[in-house]
Amino acid sequence: MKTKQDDSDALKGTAIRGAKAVVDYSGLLVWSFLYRTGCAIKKQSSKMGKEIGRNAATPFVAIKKQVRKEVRREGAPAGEATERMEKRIAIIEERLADLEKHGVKIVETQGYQKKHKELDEERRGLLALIVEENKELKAQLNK
Amino acid sequence: MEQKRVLNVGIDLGTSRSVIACDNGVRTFVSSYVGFPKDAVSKKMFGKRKVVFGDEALHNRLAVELHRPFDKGRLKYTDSPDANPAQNEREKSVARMLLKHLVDLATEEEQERAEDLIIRGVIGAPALASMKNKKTLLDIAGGVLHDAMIVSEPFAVAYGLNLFSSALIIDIGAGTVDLCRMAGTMPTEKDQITTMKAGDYIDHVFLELIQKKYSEANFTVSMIKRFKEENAFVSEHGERVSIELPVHGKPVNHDVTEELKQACQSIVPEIVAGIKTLIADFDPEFQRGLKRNVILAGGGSQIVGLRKELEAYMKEILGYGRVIVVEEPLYGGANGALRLAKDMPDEYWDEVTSKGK
Repeated sequence: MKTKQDDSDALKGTAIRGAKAVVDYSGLLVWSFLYRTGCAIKKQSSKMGKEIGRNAATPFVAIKKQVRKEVRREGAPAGEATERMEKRIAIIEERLADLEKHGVKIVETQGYQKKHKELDEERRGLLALIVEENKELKAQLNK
Repeated sequence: MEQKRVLNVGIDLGTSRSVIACDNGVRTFVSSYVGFPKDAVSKKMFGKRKVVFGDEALHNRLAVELHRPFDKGRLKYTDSPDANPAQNEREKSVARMLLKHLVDLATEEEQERAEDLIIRGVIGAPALASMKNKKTLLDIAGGVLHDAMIVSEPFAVAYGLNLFSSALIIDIGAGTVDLCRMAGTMPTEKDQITTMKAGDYIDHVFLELIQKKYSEANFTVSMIKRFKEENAFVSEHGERVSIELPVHGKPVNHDVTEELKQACQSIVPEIVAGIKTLIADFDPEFQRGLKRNVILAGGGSQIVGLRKELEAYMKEILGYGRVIVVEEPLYGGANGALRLAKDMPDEYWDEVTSKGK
């Protein structure tokens, strides 16, 4: 047998559930608004960024295009350049052969490991004077 | 192709001995004699060698055409090459052979092939060697060393001892005695004195004195030279010395104590006069420093008692004097020249080489 008390409890329970549902729904609604707003802002700022980047890069792209155009205009085809180099090497070889024929020997220019020498100023000065004297002697010897 | 290696050498081309010191550790000397076999018999005696050097040439002087390219500290005929052009060229070529022989001795132990070495040499020349003489030395070195420089011999000695100021170097060789005042700068002409009364002069005086005393004895300069090198002295209280000389073919002992002492003393007055000149006209404030640092180098510095004799003379005429004998009299010049060669920066060598080319 249903009592009044039971009816009252059932009503209370329904009211509470209804209230909960309202709160849930309004939460979802707010989240939905926020999410959509965020997406819209992201889309717009990305569009704006692209636009700004493109505008900033325009002069550089123009320069690059111009330079490439100039290089293409000046540079000869690869085959032609190789041919020119080969001709030059042939001339040099011919000259070397001529020099060797006349007894001129090619001195190997293979160097040696130069060493840095720690010297005080006084000693360096003395050595420089010796060098000067010897340069003079050698110059006279070669006259 | 391997990278080249630099070999630094210091060279003292002396009238009596030629010395070389290298930074590969080789230090050696040869008597400055070059001999060419005279005929087929002597050629056979020396095997395939067309030229012999040093003591070997001297000992076999009857079998070879003997050359001593240096005299009085310089290459023979250098000062008047036009008077004897052929002999001048001949002596130059002999000197070059001697230098080549020295360098060969220094490089024979080298692992690398000769072509892989860059040989840089500093050569000592007498203090007041003429420009002609120095040029000739450079010319001789040209065919043997890759890079060469000439320095005053006493300066090389001073450089080797690290004595750049307040020192007086006396280098007693066979041909010359070089005196050089070190005053913190490169010595100029007025800082240097060269006298010709040196080792050879002692031999000459000694020979005359023995000839005078023992007219019947038969001997040569080379015999008494060797004896002098072993026994030279100037001290008052030494042992008696006697030399065995043949008389009519029979070896006889001859007392030559007084003669040897007199001969050795014959070079002292000029050395003392040189010391006096260099000290007296030096800045008075620094004269004491010079007197305290008189350095004796060269073969002649080995004369027993010479150090004390010079100190006594200096005390008498200058009031005070301290004489020091270098540790290695024979190698003093070559060691200093080697140090110079090693210290010389690469760019300085390049400067000298490029100027010449």
